[in-house]
Amino acid sequence: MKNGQGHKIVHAITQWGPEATGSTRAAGLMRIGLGVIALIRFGNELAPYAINGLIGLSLSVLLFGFAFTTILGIRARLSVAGLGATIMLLYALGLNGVGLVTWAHHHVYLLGMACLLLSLCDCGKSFSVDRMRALATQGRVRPPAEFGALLGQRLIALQLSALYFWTAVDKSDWAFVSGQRLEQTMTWVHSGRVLEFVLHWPALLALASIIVLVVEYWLAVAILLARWRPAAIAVGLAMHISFYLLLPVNTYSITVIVLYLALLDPAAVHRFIDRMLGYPEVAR
Amino acid sequence: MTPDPQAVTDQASPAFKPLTLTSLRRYIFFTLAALILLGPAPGQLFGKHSPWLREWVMYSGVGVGLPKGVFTVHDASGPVAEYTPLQAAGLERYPQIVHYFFETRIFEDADLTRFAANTCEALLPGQHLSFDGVVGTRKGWVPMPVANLCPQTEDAP
Repeated sequence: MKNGQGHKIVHAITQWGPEATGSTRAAGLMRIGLGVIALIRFGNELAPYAINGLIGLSLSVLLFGFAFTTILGIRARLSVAGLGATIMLLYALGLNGVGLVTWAHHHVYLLGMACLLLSLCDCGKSFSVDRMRALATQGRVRPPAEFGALLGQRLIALQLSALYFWTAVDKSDWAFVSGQRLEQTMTWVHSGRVLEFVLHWPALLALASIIVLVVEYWLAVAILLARWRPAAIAVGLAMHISFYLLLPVNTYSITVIVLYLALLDPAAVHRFIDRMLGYPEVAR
Repeated sequence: MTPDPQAVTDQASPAFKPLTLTSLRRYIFFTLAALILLGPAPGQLFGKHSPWLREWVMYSGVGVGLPKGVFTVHDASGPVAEYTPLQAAGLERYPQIVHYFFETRIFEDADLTRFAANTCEALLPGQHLSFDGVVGTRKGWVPMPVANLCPQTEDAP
């Protein structure tokens, strides 16, 4: 590779990643979505009726406090960082057997990491109390721009890519490709239930397994490439909705779907919302 | 030349190069990107597991320890009844709990006896229970045929 080309690639990567800036509306929407998901995931486990002792109370205060301030966008970056740290604390407690074992699940880790990474974005510049305060201070004549650093948004995109790649690596064996592992999963979930009939079609399960494996390897790359991204998002959404309907995935699917906002062109999200609200389009 | 307004410098120690916010952002980004992209590698490729390097192996263990096959009740005249795994376990369906909390998962022959304990208890004198089938493992279905699952019936006529 010529030196000039190398510099161009490094420049393109730094512009896409650490130097990324743009509309903060997608990040703002992700902030609200992740806050709501955190409330849904942990609400009934950390509400006052479900907790014991000072540690339980502390976790409850942290979770509910940060979740609400995250949703409302009050000191948004600090709030979403606090929410992420709290969720990762629950994850650590789950890993060490101090908290619920289910706190150590992959969907909890993903939610916590996503919140921490989002805190590296200017996610409070849109749809937030922070913005209302800025408007009150600066006035509506020259409203503060919904524009800022998006480093964290790019890292969330990489997190999704890594998730697809490594889960595909885990499935790259004969036991999965032959449909046996999917059949085992379906046996646990669907035996004696309405979709039990799928267990009688092992060829269908093998075909579904191969499709899932190919799609996950493809998504790992396609979500990062502008040319393939629209198709990748459509296929990914279909896959995660299928997971949600067929398997007890808890908040995993909905978290990934919210994080798909990180894959979209921030300017396109901004323009889309402007169009929805009937505002004239302004180039971003 | 005007100083870089973004520079974060330690004025007292000129040996250190100024760390600009741009550089700091790059260090943060590439460090986290490496952690995100390569973190699962030690565990998933080399078996060096760490709880802090999250591996993405969702649902890989769900269904492990479940039987697939036929439980058959025999008496002196031959087979008298066949049961599905759920029927043998006395269940209508597997419980809606995290799979590894299901206490009667099967990892060895003796676990099959625990799995079919209800059916064993209901056997009449002279009857015995066999299993012809496979059990789920991380490497797929593994045959685990057992001729007599209920040891107390071994000496029955």
